[in-house]
Amino acid sequence: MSDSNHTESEFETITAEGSENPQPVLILAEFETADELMSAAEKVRDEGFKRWDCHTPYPVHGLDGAMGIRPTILPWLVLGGGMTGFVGGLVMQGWMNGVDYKFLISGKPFFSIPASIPVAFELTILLSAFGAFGGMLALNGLPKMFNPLFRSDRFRRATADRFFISIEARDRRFDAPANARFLRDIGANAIEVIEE
Amino acid sequence: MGHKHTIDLSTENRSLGGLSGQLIGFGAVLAVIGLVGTLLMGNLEGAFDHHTDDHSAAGHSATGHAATGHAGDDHAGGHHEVHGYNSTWSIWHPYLVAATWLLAICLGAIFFVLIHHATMAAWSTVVRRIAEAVSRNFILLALLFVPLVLPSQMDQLYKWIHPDPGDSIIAVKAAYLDYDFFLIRMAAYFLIWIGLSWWYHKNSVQQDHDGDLKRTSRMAHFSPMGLILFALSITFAAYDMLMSLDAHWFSTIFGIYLFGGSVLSFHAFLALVVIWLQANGRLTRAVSDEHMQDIGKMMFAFTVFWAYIAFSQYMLYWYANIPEETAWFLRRQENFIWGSWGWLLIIGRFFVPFLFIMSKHIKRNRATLALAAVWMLIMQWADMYYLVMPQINGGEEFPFTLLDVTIPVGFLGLFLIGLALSLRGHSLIAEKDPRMPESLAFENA
Repeated sequence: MSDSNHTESEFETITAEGSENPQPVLILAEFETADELMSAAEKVRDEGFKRWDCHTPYPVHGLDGAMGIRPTILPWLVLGGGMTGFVGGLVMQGWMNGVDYKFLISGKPFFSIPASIPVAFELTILLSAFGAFGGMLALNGLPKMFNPLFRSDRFRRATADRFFISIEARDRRFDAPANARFLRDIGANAIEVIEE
Repeated sequence: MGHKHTIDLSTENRSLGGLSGQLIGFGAVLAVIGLVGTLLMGNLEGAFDHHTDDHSAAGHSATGHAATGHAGDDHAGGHHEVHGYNSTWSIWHPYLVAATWLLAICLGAIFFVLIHHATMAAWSTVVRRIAEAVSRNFILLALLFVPLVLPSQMDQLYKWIHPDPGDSIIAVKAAYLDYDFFLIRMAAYFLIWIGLSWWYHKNSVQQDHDGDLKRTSRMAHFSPMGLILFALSITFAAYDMLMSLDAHWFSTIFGIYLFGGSVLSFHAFLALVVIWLQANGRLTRAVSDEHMQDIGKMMFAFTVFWAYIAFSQYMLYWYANIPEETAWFLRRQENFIWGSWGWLLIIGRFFVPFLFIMSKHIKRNRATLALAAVWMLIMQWADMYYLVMPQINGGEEFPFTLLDVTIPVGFLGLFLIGLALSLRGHSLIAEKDPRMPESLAFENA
């Protein structure tokens, strides 16, 4: 299903089956330990790479800083969702109970704040949760049915006992042989280039 | 994870040392200010006059409500209504507000100790010793409550002692609202609280010396039982100390209302103690921004929890709209001042801190967290004030005097002295708790 050849910079190339004009899509480097990954990530960050990622079997504390990831905007999405829910809930009930379909219930005002709080509160929670869940998926580019990384057999160990750095071909500094040498220098013990 | 260097506790300054004198001195100054201020203002207000019946007219003429002072009593004879709630102002009203204000902090502290043992929480281990020390102030609070439960003071606060003739609502509750039974219950609450705080503090401190891991499992094993005792005692204490001020009224959620405020105020107090210790070079690395953020999270969570409970209580009564249930809120809404005070709690105790402390940067910054904590403690006092004071003359007057400032200040001084006595003589941190390395390395994901 894939052919591999060794070049002087010692990386394997994995090419998608049936690809007419294979082009590299990413380069994958394997590390033995979380500490090696961490120091390598700092160097990849300092080298100026932008479109790259780390893959670990478990959350590694401090990796965000080592990768130079900017703070997420997710909290603002959640806040926006929550406020939309709260205001929307009050406006909706104000329109329904106070304007569109007035119905007298046990002598209460048609529209009153206390009676509207539970619905407004629940909508605050609901839209906050939607903001958190949907926002997280969207910011991560999910759902994604396939990732070229899956072509690598070696990469399966990212869920067990190995740590990986992948650099996408879309990165401006992408250059397979040079990147492979660089990754080898900063401690990678195996390098693969995936083509599609 | 290995990458993060672990903190070496042996190089950390983790004993109160000279700070204990500083804290005792500060507490003593506050206590003296409180005592002198109370004596001065109390004389001006006529609080120490024996003719307490004349008080409203004599002391409160400045408020402009002198004429309404006895309105409730005057009507009681002529009309069909009887008052299970009306009391006239006495110095014991602000005293009760101040005592329950500090009691709330202690209740939050013992809850903190119990719940973190029950869940075997690790993040909190670095600050648990401070919670244990704060909870030891139950001894001080027991002393402060002794004068409150003497018959002459009870008479001025709790009208169920001598109900109006023909008060059938209180007659039904007579078996529970009985002075002797009340004393037994109060003794039981403080016995439970002092016992729990003493036992947990003792075991924790002794573990510093012997490193016995069995102590940790023993404390964890007992904590669910401790939590049940805590839940029952705080619920009934809230009924007895605060809700029975209005013996006609009832709210089954009242204990949880006090609980929400208690846990909130304790975390605010804890944040302030930690910030103060760190400003003086104690625990500077053991307690990190991560721990402060978690304390801030709890403050945020219980701000919401308090509002949720407060609204749950309000909405059911508002919806059902049954006179004997709404009377309690009516007294707090029909008068402009108490209506505004209610809005102060809604805005000042919920919306402002909710929005202010939402961001993680606010929680991790010592100055902003301290600001939020001080504000929340003031709001806890305002909440206790709202529970107690509108009972005076049916909420028809605003009974604020400078005693409402001097008594809490004096009690706070005693509270800080008690804290200093509990914190000194041993480490500020649970030295040999098996979860300490995990707590030191704690990071928010």
